Amino acid sequence: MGKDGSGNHTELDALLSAADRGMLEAIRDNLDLGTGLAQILGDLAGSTPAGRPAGPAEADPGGAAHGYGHAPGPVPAREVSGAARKTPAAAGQKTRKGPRDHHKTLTTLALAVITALNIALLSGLSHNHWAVGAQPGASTACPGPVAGEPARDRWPFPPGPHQSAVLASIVLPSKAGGYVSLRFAADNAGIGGDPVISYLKDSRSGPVFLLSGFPASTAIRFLSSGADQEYRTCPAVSRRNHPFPSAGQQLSPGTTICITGGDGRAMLTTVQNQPSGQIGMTITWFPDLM
Amino acid sequence: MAGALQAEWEACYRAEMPQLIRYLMKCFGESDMRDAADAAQSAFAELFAKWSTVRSPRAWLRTVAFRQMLRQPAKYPLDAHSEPSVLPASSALELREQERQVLAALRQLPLAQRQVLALVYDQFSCREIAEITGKNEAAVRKNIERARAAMREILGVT
Repeated sequence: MGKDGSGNHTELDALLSAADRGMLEAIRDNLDLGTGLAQILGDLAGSTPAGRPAGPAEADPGGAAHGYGHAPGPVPAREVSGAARKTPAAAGQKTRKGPRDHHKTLTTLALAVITALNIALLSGLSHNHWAVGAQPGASTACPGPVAGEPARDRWPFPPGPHQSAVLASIVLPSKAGGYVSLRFAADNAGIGGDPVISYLKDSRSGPVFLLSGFPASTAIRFLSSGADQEYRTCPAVSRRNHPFPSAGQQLSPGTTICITGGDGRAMLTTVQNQPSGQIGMTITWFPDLM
Repeated sequence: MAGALQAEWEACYRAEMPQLIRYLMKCFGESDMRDAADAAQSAFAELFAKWSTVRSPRAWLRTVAFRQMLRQPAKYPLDAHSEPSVLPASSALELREQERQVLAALRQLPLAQRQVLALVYDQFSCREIAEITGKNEAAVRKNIERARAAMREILGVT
């Protein structure tokens, strides 16, 4: 139970706490902290952690039990020895590590390509239409503040509940990250469902996105209809919310829709690079202004 | 001095690494332990370099590792015909029935509710959870209550 928790959830708390303990035990059994430590220290060979600031430290969220200003206490023997992550057998760490590292390298390369494509598309769009990253309160270049880190001047937007977050710009056919971002936005806005974005290349109105998987009760609103007016295939700008179509909602380039959930809103904007015709989408999540 | 600082950081690693993995697994039910361990390891590597500026390592780690999980590429193609679900969180672990049941129940909650509930059971206060999640305390309390209500209903407990 958390520090602010009341005692009204005894049975649930007991069940969740027991499950927590069991999970922790299982994780510890599958984890070799010694090698994990060695990996980080080996990668950063020659460097040492920068000194903690002198003077009274900010209260640790975890309380006094987690003050790390002292030398480590005794560590259970099972945490000291073994491999970083004991999957699935104890031996053969190097053999297993090879393919995973290879996979990681490929993933990193793929992400780099996606990022480059995103930047290229968005910078192109900023000349052709508008700067997507310059939406009020949104920032792709500057990540949000990190809990536990002292506030600094470098954050252009104050931390707190009123921040929004541009989660992803998806450039097709490179779609990695979009699914998770859409799910995150939908979950955080309290929309729920199992949303999916599909790319329809040869629709009547050219390349469009098909958004599906939201609950039937989800309310959407068109803030701009973009190319829809030209092709007259999609709803125009609406002043009221409409129920989410059960067959999904097609989004042409230049369309912005707002989906409202119990905890906030998710705004989806489709954009198109004029010379190439490539389309993409930005997903922005706005928490409730409570 | 450098040795003492490294010992501090190592103590933090040993104490928090398993808990951080558990937190991520509870939040991102779609992932297995390897994803969570990678994200946690990456957060700790970053913490190593920022040890001087991070005053609340537990909260900081949860924020950074959570974002790291979000940044990881989707494992499944973004296609309407592809399976939306991915591996269960417990695929790489030997969990008891009770733990599987709780994880399965958590997976039915929206991510924001899973996150606050995981933080509550990691002994964070509402104020700290608000700081970690970037929401205000009222929204956090609301999410905690909703999450508890949903979990009670799903698990059939009081």
